[in-house]
Amino acid sequence: MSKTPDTSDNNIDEKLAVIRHILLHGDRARIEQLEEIIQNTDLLSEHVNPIIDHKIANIKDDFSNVFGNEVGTEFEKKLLLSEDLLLTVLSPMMGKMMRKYISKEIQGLKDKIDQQFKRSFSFKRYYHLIRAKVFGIESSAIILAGLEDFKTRIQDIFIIQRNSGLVLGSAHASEAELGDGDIFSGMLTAIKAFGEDAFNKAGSEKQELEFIEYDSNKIFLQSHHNYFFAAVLNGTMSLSEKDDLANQLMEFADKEKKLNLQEINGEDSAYISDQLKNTFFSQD
Amino acid sequence: MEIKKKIILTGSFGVGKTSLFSRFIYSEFDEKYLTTIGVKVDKKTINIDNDTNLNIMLWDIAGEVAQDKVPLSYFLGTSGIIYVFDLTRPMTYNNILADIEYLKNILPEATVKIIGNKKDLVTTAHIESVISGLPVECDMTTSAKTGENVEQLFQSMGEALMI
Ligand SMILES: Nc1nc2c(ncn2[C@@H]2O[C@H](COP(=O)(O)OP(=O)(O)O)[C@@H](O)[C@H]2O)c(=O)[nH]1
Ligand SMILES: [Mg+2]
Repeated sequence: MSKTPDTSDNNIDEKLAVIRHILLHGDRARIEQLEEIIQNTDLLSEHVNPIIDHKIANIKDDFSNVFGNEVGTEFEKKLLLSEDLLLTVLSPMMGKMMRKYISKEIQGLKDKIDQQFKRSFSFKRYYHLIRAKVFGIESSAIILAGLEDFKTRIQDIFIIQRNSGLVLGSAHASEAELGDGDIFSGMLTAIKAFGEDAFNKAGSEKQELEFIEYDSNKIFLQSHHNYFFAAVLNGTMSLSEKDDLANQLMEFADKEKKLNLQEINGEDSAYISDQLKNTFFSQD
Repeated sequence: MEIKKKIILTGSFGVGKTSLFSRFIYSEFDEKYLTTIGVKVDKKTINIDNDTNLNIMLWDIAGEVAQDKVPLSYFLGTSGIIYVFDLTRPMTYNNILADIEYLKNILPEATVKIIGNKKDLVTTAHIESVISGLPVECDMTTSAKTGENVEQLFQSMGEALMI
């Protein structure tokens, strides 16, 4: 153990194989296939166009049901006449999402792609986008409206000290916790360290894990200098939901300067937990 | 007052780290990750005095994993190190000086306790001769089998961390 860490290729490969297995369940081939599709415009439109067409057809068929109560008939008529409007609203979103798939979002790729599409292009999101365009609502207001969707699926948020794995603060959707939060956070820290160690030894640019799966939960991680956030989510989240959550956590980090203290006592920790609860689990 | 500290158990394979750990702690964590990531984290609360509780987060490095392959960051952020050797196997303490120096180098601030385990298998005379031959001071001898000195080990570590 006094020896320097083994950095031989064998060891790295071994570790990478293991971590890939945890993260991807051997889905490498599928990812490569997807990357190829995404980078090739023709292939991409072959896959995406039918979905757009299908969704437009759906919106047409189902428009009154979905939007009937919300939208005045004048607007409804106008929109139905204007397929162009729909396309201009939808296309940029497609492009953005595809780019995100190929940027280090390995975890997103693991999910069944078809499912992802269905969820990301739900009517609710169309509705927000259309409203944004037509009624001129600020996009931030739209994000807030969409936020409720995933908020209900956040089960726990932990703020965990880097390296030591000690909990600086935590908040939970229900009082029935997932077990002991301290142990959970310690193990999470170890899993994170293990994964990052394997990736970083392989000589690639420094990477931090963004997602870990545990039982039926997905854990979203966001690293800061002295600590990281771990949000335990029930089920999966769409990429735009993920962005919303990431922004919320960033804002929280900016606001709560106590998080940067070197030593955190019980009182600080209780304060931070309270703030977390107010921000992410308030009833109103 | 509630305080939390991270402690790591280290030493050669088979010296009894996990046995000491499970003597001390009973809860279980999902086993499927343990073999992969090579560490198990558990918690024990030690009562320091009437109004102070110390929550020890104990990291046990899995036996099958060679220590030099343990990610360095497992050691970081640690307040206390319990270095265990096996009183019956010289192999497990021949390298003790280099091992301790390695640890002190990574964790200059940490409290280190050096533990000779499996004392139930050897005579008092044997223990004395092993300990006097060591280049470092042995803090305590234990038996994870009989439980001798196990509570004391963690209690004394806890108290040392409070100073
Ligand atoms: N007689 C005796 N056996 C022990 C003691 N501690 C551990 N063992 C045995 O030594 C073996 C290795 O123990 P383990 O805790 O897995 O060692 P680790 O690799 O350091 O975690 C097991 O068969 C234990 O039952 C002890 O104090 N006395
Ligand atoms: Mg062990």
